Amino acid sequence: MGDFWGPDLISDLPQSIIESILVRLPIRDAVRTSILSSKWRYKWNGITKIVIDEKCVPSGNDPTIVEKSLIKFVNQLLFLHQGPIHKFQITNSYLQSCPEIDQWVLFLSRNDLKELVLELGEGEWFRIPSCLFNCKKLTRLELFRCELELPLTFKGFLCLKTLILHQVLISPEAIESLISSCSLLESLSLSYFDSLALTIHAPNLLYLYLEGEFKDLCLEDTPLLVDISVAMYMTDDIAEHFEQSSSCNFTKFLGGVPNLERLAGHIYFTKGSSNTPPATDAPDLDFWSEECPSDCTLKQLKVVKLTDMCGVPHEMELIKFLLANSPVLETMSIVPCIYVMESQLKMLIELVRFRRASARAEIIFVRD
Amino acid sequence: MSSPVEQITVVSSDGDEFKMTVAAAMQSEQLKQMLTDDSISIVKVPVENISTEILVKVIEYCQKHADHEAATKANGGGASDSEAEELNKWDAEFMKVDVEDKLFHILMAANYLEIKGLFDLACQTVADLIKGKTPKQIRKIFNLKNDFTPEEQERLSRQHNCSFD
Repeated sequence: MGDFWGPDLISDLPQSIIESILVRLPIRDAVRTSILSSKWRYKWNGITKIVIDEKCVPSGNDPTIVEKSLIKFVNQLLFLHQGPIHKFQITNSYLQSCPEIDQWVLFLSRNDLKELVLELGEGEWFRIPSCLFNCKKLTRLELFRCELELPLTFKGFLCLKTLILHQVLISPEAIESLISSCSLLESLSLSYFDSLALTIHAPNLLYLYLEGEFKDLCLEDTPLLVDISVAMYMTDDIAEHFEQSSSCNFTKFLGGVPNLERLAGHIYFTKGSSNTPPATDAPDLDFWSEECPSDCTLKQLKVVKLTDMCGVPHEMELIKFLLANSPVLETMSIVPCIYVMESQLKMLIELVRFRRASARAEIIFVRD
Repeated sequence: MSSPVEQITVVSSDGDEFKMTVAAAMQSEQLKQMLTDDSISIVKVPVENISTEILVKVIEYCQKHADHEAATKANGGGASDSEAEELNKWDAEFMKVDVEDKLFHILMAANYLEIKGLFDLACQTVADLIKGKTPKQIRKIFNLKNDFTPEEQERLSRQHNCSFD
């Protein structure tokens, strides 16, 4: 009807380039290209990255209908797909734990899966099927609100570099076993665990992020660590445990991390005790001189950030230790606990006295 | 080789010659390989499938990114957020090119010369043209002809639960 068709600009590009373009589209748009023309029917089929996120929600108000529609979409997607799927991510609050997800994981385990991210809705926690452990090429595993149980025959994900577990139900032995069996692990993030006592063996670990209630932490084999970030909830029980324990967790931390460049620590009290400052007449926790290995110089440490510092003895000892043993330190940020106004001045007075190994070190006392 | 090479010459498919600094050339994996291989002495590099018009754009991209890298290094490592944002804005302006004319040629050139940043940028630009559009709109942008029969349209449309338009 008078339309002048210019040359087709895109359909004859090499398939690898088409895939590079399609992989950058939201998944629904990518799949919809199959109706553009007969040439486009199967171009999307080989994309190796599938992300079902919040944008992927079909129209509709009823969450049950939306969920059903999403499940149907993913089923169809996987059924029509051809070839390996390297990355599969679900970050969608409408999708709850359901049997179909088991089947998807099974399908993925047969298709060269390398990265899996599962963040389902706030309902019942999804129980990870054992077929996940057949994904020999897994390099990244990120799980939110799941239950994980290691099969007895599991020898580890030998290619795993990144492990992120957030609110995952797993026994402490299983976590330790999982970490130590993934010998190439470079980045580990564990958050929202209850009363975890953890010993970490990870010879290739570079980044460690921990958040939760940790009863005890021991870095036993982590010589390559570059970045540590610890946010610890302190309940009364755990605080008591620390005070009575003869081996300080921080010593166990800092003794074996010669390559550490960044350290962030945040210790805060859970709801019950947040209004009461810890007893300032607690027994002086003098374990630095005894427990600390002779050469504890943190030769690479450049940046330290400590949050919610109340000025109690073991915190001040930690700061003193860090300042004295970090010859290339550039900044130490201290964010004092807001409930302890009067003690801030006392903390500052003490701080100013501490010897510094690094002439460049800036101490930044952050007041909101 | 005696003196370090500071510039190389690339020749477009139209025969025009352009000088590129080594830093800019290193943005291309292909050129980088040639430069770091001592056994190859570089005089002029012909890039047979890249026209003058496109080559000029490609060199502009490479030079800008090489300059940015050098400036970042001079500042001791990390690019500040504002610098990164400025570069992104520059990239966005750079990619405001005619779809019909230049976009895909730049994409293919970046692919051929293995310039990752430019390739990613061009792919993303094309993806952004497709995102959120109806099939009819997409066909118009890229001059695609809908060659499905009405029966096929009907079947596919039911399968994908969406309209063809």
